[in-house]
Amino acid sequence: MKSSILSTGRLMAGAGLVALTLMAQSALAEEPKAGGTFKLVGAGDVAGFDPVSARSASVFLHRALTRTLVAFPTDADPKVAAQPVPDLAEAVPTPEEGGLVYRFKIREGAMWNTDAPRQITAEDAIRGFKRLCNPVQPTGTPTYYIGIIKGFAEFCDGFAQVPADVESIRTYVEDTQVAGLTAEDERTLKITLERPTADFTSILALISSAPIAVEMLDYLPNSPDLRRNYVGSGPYVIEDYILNEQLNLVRSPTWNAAADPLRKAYVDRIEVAFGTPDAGKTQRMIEAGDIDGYFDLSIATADLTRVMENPDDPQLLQFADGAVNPILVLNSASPNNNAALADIRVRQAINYAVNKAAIVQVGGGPNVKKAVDQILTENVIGYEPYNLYPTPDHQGDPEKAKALLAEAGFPNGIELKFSYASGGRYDLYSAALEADLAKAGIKLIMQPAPSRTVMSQMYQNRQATNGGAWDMGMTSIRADWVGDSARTMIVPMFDGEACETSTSNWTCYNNEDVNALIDTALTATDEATAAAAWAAADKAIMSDAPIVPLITGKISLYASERLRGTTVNLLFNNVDPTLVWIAE
Amino acid sequence: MSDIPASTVHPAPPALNTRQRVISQLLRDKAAMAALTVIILLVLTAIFAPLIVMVLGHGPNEQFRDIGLTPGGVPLPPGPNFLLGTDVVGRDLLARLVVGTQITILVAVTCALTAIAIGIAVGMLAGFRGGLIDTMLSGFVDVVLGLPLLITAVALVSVYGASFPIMMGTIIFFTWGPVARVVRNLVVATKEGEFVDAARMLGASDLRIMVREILPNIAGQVIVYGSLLIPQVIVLEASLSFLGLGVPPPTATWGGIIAENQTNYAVAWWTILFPALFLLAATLAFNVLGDGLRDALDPSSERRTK
Repeated sequence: MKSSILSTGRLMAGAGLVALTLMAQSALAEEPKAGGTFKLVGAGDVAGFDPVSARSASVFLHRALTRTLVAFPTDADPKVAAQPVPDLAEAVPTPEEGGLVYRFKIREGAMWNTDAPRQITAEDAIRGFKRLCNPVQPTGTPTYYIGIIKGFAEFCDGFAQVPADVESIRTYVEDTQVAGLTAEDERTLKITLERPTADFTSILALISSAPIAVEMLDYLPNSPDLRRNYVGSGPYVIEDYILNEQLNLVRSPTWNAAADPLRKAYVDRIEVAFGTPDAGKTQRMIEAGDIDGYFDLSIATADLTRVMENPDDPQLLQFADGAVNPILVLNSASPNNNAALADIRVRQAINYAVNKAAIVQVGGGPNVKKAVDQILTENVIGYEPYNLYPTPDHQGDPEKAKALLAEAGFPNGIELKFSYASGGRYDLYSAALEADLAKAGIKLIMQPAPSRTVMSQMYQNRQATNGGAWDMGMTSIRADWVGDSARTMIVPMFDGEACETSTSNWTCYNNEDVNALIDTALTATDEATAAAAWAAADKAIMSDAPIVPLITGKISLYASERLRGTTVNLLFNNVDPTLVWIAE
Repeated sequence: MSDIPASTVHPAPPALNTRQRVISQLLRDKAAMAALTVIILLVLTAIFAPLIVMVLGHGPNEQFRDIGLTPGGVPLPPGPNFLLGTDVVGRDLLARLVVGTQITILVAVTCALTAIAIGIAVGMLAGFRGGLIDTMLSGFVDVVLGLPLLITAVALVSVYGASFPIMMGTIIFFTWGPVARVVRNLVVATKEGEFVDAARMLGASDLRIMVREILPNIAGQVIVYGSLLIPQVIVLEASLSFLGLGVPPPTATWGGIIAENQTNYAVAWWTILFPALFLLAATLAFNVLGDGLRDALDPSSERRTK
């Protein structure tokens, strides 16, 4: 009898093992398959659909619609994801003439989605750059190209004088040359730079660098007409676009898979429904299988707490957001407290006084947030971890802060006007900061206001800044792309040479050493030199303590049970719509 | 001698003056009495807020991130340490609600009284004088009532920043207009009364007629309107605080508490439920009491308490 039980047990165990093996084989054998509809819902319509002004969710869409010369690949390894690879171009070029010349050969067979398929040419690539500084849709994007591509600044100066109508824009774009952009033959583009630029390849991987079809000049940039009649180069085309309601993409009949190494275009359709601003509702729709993912939102805190109970949930997609958010900006131009914040010891005292562990906790805990002590984040070239103002477990050191304040002539502490954008997590961070800074004798006068008001009336208002309307502000520093993107985290806020015209360097921070390091990094001809200069600039800035970096975090998304190929692309922080596939 | 038995003769009830009649009427209105009890409790909570906070042992702005918050930043539910649980940064929710009651009652009473005073002054002047003054003042009231509350509040906060005086000023500005309009209409109807003519013939000045003759005659309706204005002010204050246009943090207000905790409602229901209940109780109580007062003051009202 015992023997019989044992043999039955063994039999069952064996059967279980076989079943598990079969299941594992089945999972391993799961091959991508074509077909189906990839469904998403978004809070609102795409704010900047046109490649000249595309950001985040819009860039996600353009992955399916628009190709660039080079592109950031979709890869789970951030180091791989940060290295641009050929897209329309046959290869990533090696800079010539001391880093001043880049030559691109556009792939043969890469076609526009026009009624009569047409080869994408070097002239189309030049047109894409030229449209960037059009007078209709002025954005900060041209700053990535002005001063870098030879003659681009002059071209943009002239464009600013052009009337904002279709005909004038078309005439200026087609008839005015940019000295640094030359079509050597139908498919060869030569770009000449004014100075070597270490991260130029990364800039070319942005959607703003995409070639543009001549038909796009028939519409005003980013206009509803342009959206409805968009001529793209990717594997999908727009089938329907009802503003603020629905955007449907279908497979392009002219897309040539052989000429596209990055996209697979497994799904037949991509449907985005706008008008669901509630992330909780979106999450419930994904969990119910009604839709497949988020478009422009991420998991709400409440849902994340629940979902994180199973951190191995394969449907949960988490990745570093690459931002230091928030940071505290200390207004060294403020005359308040006898210009206390102009004294480096006071700024250092605040760096010691903050309890970053508390910000991590109220921000969602260590599973989703991490304390940081510098400007550059992990996936950015030049990141070298250091901490100039260490405190035990990042919990702050009120005694050290008090001592520094006393040394600076404030033995009884100081009062600081703290302006911040109310709403969302900034309210929680502010509450935690208010309590913790008080322990070091730093009393915060809370000045919450709507986001736009804080930005325009306080931070970017030189009179308010220099007049002491605010002493401490709260914002974020975010990389515009992964990898070689230190420029986007350091230059806007800390390049003193441009502080008078900058809308991000609110207190006109200007340190000659930092400026020199920025120049070195921007003009370096090799990545190692640039990385070393960025790392040194990061440290030099934090030695001055003009800001207090607080935390960095992860973005959390959720995919439907049937969705596969959900590796996140770190340029647009979402799954790659051309690589996902439906398993059903 | 009468044929009617002595036991069936009912003595005539003593005549009641208006005040006694109203009080008697109110005392028999169970709903109004319940509402009054709630209001008294709220007022007592506001008055003794510092004492209650002392007994609780937790300051309203004191953060207990070690014992009042999980490592993941989730507030703790009601329990022995925190009777109504904690909020998003680990503060005692009960302590904040108690202090919030103080702010709410203070704002409600101050704003309502100020709005009523302004409304009476403007409404009486317009209604009594008539003519051009009436046209101008009534027109001004129409302009005030036509202004969008939230846009104006956002504009004011954008220029001057969120503060207690700005919030109070905004609430008063948007609540005196309806009072003025009601008072003006009452005065127009009342000033034709014979008692006004009699006072005028006796040589009474306009001011005396307005204050001593007309005001007492419209006081009942104004009191009813005032009691109904208080819940409006409470909701307005909560709305402004919810939108970040009210009292700056960390001062606790009911609307502010709801706003601070709205992102966590799915995992911390108590952070929304309890402030919402306080808000509901206060507005309901003042509304029910207002209804009761109206019934008691209006002899023609059909909804009399039996």
